[in-house]
Amino acid sequence: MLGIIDVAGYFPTKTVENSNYREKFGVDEEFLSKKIGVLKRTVKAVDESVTDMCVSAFVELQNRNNIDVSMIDCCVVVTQNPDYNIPHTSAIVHDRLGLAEGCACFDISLGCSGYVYALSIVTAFMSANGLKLGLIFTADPYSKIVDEDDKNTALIFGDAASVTLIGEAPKLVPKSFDFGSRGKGYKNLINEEKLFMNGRAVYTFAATTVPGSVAKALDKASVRKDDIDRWYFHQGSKYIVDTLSARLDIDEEKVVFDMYEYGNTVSSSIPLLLEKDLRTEKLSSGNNLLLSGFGVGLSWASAVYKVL
Amino acid sequence: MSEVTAESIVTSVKSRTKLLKNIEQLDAEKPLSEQGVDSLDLSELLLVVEEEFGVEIPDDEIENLGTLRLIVDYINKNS
Repeated sequence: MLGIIDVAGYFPTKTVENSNYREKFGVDEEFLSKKIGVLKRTVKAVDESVTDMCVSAFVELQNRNNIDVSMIDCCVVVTQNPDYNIPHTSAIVHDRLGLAEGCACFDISLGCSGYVYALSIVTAFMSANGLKLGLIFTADPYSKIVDEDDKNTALIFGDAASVTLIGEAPKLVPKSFDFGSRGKGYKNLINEEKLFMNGRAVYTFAATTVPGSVAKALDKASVRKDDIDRWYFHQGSKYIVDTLSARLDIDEEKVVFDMYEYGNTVSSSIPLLLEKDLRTEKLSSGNNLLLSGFGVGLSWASAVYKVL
Repeated sequence: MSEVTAESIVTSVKSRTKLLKNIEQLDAEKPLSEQGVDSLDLSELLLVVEEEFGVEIPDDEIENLGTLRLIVDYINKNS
């Protein structure tokens, strides 16, 4: 059975302190720490490409797993800020990693729901085609598109990348998925010349939609809410994670939150939480995990995973 | 539906969300922004109001709803 073997992450070395912007945006420390939950944001180097970020994440993965790259037969990049419109970024990653010609490569253009969608897409694609070892990269550096004068977005987003190794000796296996879209809300989070976000609309969408998606994923997996050991919500802000915890009436101790030092990393936010839990051995055999990503599109995806 | 009051909004909000702390201390006549209600709190407040009282509050109405009193009046006019 295919599943997640390991996850590795990459953060650019440059960070920006949000406290330096308190006066500009009229916010205080309490707002930064208790409302949006971002004290620092990571920012990629100007000349650092999405491919560079993916490769940096892979170096971390390789250090822990000693992967034979000739055996990788699927390579996917989740991004909406590709290095080029043409070709797909995964093709460039393929070149940089020296992957085999038999390796299938494609990009997935999704934002904050992208990782959970990618888990399902790649697992199903690999399973249907007899593929054995795959990589799911997430790298969506919003520093490329955020308006530094926009209070709604300038304090929130950080740059990061992740890579998830999918294979036949997994540690985490999927039990169920739920997906959804609300295209009529597409203008609420859109990049035309710069990123625009209708904060209220996106918050309301997440608060009212995610609980239902979670319920469907739990039902499909025949798992009760109380049986979930770790909750991994997309780290949009502390406020939305707190809102979802309250609306779902779940034990806050089981809700993972960790964006103070780097910000909302879009599709990387969930895998970076998983990476930390795997690396610090927070997960035990038999644990049930709930993953839920939501945002641009408007789009959402939830999944139940089990720790073997 | 009986007329909504500031007190009934506070009671509803308190029962539905833990996020709006000190809501019972709000002065219904003073601007919410001057009483520590920031943009995120306002989004939560308006969501709870919409769900509890069955009204829709479009984005372009928000600038006209700067106080709890104005929100009360909006609900009573539109529910």
